[in-house]
Order: sequence, then C-alpha cells, then structure tokens
Amino acid sequence: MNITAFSIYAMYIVPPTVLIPIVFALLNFNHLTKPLKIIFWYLIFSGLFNLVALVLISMHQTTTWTLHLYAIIEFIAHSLFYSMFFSKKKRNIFMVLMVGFTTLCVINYFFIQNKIEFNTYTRPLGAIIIIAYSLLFILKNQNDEKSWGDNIYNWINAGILLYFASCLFMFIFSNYLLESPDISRLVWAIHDTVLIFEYSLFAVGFYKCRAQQTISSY
Amino acid sequence: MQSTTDNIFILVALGMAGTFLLVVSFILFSIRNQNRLLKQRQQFQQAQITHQKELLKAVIESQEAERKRIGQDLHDDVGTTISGLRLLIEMFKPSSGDDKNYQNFAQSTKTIIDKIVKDVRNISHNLSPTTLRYYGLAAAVNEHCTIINQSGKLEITLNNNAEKVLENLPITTSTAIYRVIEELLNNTIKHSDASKADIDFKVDAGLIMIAYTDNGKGLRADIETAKKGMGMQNIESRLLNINATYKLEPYAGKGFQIKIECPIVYA
Repeated sequence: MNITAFSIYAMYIVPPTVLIPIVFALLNFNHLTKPLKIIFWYLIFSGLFNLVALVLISMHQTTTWTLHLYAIIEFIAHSLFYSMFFSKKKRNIFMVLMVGFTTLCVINYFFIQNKIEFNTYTRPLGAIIIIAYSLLFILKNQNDEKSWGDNIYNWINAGILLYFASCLFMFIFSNYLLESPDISRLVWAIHDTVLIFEYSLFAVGFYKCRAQQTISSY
Repeated sequence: MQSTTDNIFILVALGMAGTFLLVVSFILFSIRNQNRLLKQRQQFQQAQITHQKELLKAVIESQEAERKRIGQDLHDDVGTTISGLRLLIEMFKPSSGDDKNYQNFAQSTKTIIDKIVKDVRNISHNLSPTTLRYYGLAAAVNEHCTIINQSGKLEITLNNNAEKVLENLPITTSTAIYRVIEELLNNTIKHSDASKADIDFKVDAGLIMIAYTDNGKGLRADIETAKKGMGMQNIESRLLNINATYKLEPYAGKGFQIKIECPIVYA
C-alpha cells in the first residue's frame, strides 16, 4: 500500500463510515433512549468535525488545534453517556470530571501545548478516564439477566472500549508521529480501521434498540 | 546511555494492534462468561420449575388417590350399610300388620334412605368417577353433562370430534381434563346465570383443543384478575401438570370462553 492509498483510505473511505450508525439511528429515532441519543448527537458532531478537518486539509491548513476542542466534546459526550447508568448522586462525580477535564484542556491549549501540537497530555488522560467508565459499566452489568447481545449498551460500550484502548498509544505518541507525516499515515490507517469497528458496533446497538425499548428503563 | 534505534512508528503500530487484540479478547471472554452465567441461571430456574411441577404432580396424584379411597369407602361401606338398613325396615313386620302409623313411618324412612343412597352415590361418583376409569374421558364428560342436563340447571351441548384420541389418553391426563371441565361447569352453574354451555373437543396439529363457552355474564374482572381466582388457579395447576395451556378469550357481554390446548399423550 503506498502513501496515496493511505490518504484515500483516511480521507475518503473512513470519514463517510460515520453515516452507518447515523443511518441506523435515524431509522430507529423514535425508539432511541436518552444514552443512545447522546451517542447519536456525538456522532453527528464527529462527522461534521471530520468534514471541517477535511476542508482545512484541502486548504493546506493545520488541523491539530481543532483536536483540542474535539477532545473536550468527546469527553463530555462519553461522560454524559456513562452517567446515565449511575444514580443521580454518582452523576455529580461525572459532572466534576467533565468540568475538571475541560479546564485542563483549556489550560493545556493556552499555556502548555501550542496550536500546532497534538494534545498528547489531555487526550490520553480523557481516553484513560473513558476506559475506566467502560470497565465500570462492564462491572455493573456483569450480573445482567439478559444475554450479552440483547443489551444494546453492551454493543456501544464494546465499541468505545475497543476504540479508546486501541488508540491510547497513538494518542500518547501523536507528536512523535508528526516528525514523519508520510509514515505516520500507517498508524492513522490503523486508527481509522479501529474507528470503523467502533462505528459498526454502534450501528448494531442502534439497530437493536427497537427490540429493547419496551424493557429499557433508561 | 546508548540511544535506541527502534522505529517509533512500528512500536506504536504494534502497541495499538496488541491492545486491540487484548480488548477484543477481553470483550469475547466477558461475553462468554456472561452468557454462561445466564445459561446456568436459566438451567437453575428450569430445574426449580421442574421440581415444582413434580411437587404439584405429587399433590394432585395423592389428592386423586385420596378422593378415590373416600369415594370407594362411601360407595362400598356407607352405601351397602344404608341399603341393608332399608332392607331391614322393609323386612320388619309389626305385630299389627296394618298399622297406619308404621306404614307412614316405613314409607318416609325409605324415601329418606333412597335420597341418602342417591346422594352417597353422587358424592362417591364425584370423588372418583368410575366411568372415567373404565370408559374413558368422553364417556365420563358425557355422563356428567347428562346429569346436569337432567337437573335442568343448564343445557350443555357436547361436540366430540376427538373420540379416538380421548379414548387412549392416560388416566392422569383424562382426570385432569375431566376435573377442569367439572370446575368450569361448576363455575357456570354457580356464578354465571347461564342457560347454555358448549363443550367442543377436536384434534389439531398434535394437540387436543378444548373450547368451553357459556352464555352467562362472562368475566367481570379483567382476564389477569380472573386468573388469580381460586377456581382458575385450580384449573391452571391441573393444566400445568399435564403441560397444557389455556387462553381466556375476551368475551365481554357474550358469556365466558376458554380455549385449552393439551399435547396428545398415549397411555
């Protein structure tokens, strides 16, 4: 695979795959529960964000600064999603984490990592917290009365865990990868492949939500 | 310290691939574990249901055995003794043969004894229907319906399109169905103010289909509340014991209707 092929894969094939879960969500929109709606709007944001990034790339502008904003929205969306599975009292902890993380991102953007660098301090931190959310979710649901596949949130959670755990290394070493943009495309291609897995798992979750809505309490 | 010559890209790519595999394995193990736990829980619940069914079966069987014993004792002992008493009264000859008072006494005593004999026979028959044991379910239901029809309390129409199957049912199944029909007829007579009832037997797709309807008041409460009544619970436990299912049809204003489906089991 040459560099052009990597670029086509990363720029034209992977970004539209976000439409797969979005289409499934739209088809079942009336049956979407609150947590699923959060994921749906996050996907819409993610798709638009990718579009903006592609436009900036076509105009030969740097896009790294946009990731600072993306990290905040991504973290808030995931925190809101997981907070839905916990009691109101415990949701305050999620609120504190959201406010704390946003503050850290702002400080990092203005004072620590400048506009042309990746946010390699805050994004991995966000990813680690999201992985912790995901593991807590698994712990909470391990005595589920239903089969694993029948719980739609298991599919969403599997997608999130798979993406953030697999891409954690990449988030940490993003700035090293900037040193050689051509070869770094290989790493981004792996990232994009994991992203397709995540979107596919989200799509299964959205597809199954119609059957589950009668028994869901969220 | 010697500087490393490792390629950072390869290290990151390997790290990502390794973590990906690790997470996939973790999720698959988690799925397997959760599904296994669920299966174990289902097996445990199934075992509990089977145990409860066995207990129910034992209760019903011992109840039937006891009914049979009491029925036979009533018929053989009490019935025979009362018949002997009637004979004694008949054979007794007072010193003055044409004593009017004696004749009145003998007549009224014999009438009462005849009534007692009839009642004892009915009770023993209800406790342990001999027709059911010797001639099968259809004959027993037919006999029961005839008795009720003759009493004038209810006009029952029996349509039997499953003659062969009903003849070959094991005694546990036929007793259960008989008791259910008995209970339904009893409910109709006691609570529904109905004038007519229909019992329909037919065979379809390996099942005995029984449709029971009457033209009475029907169910006052909703179906779920009606199911909690003592009579319906008796019916349910009898049917559960023979793996039969039932459905109370919404029949508001037209009477009462129940449809029973019982798997065919041969004796």
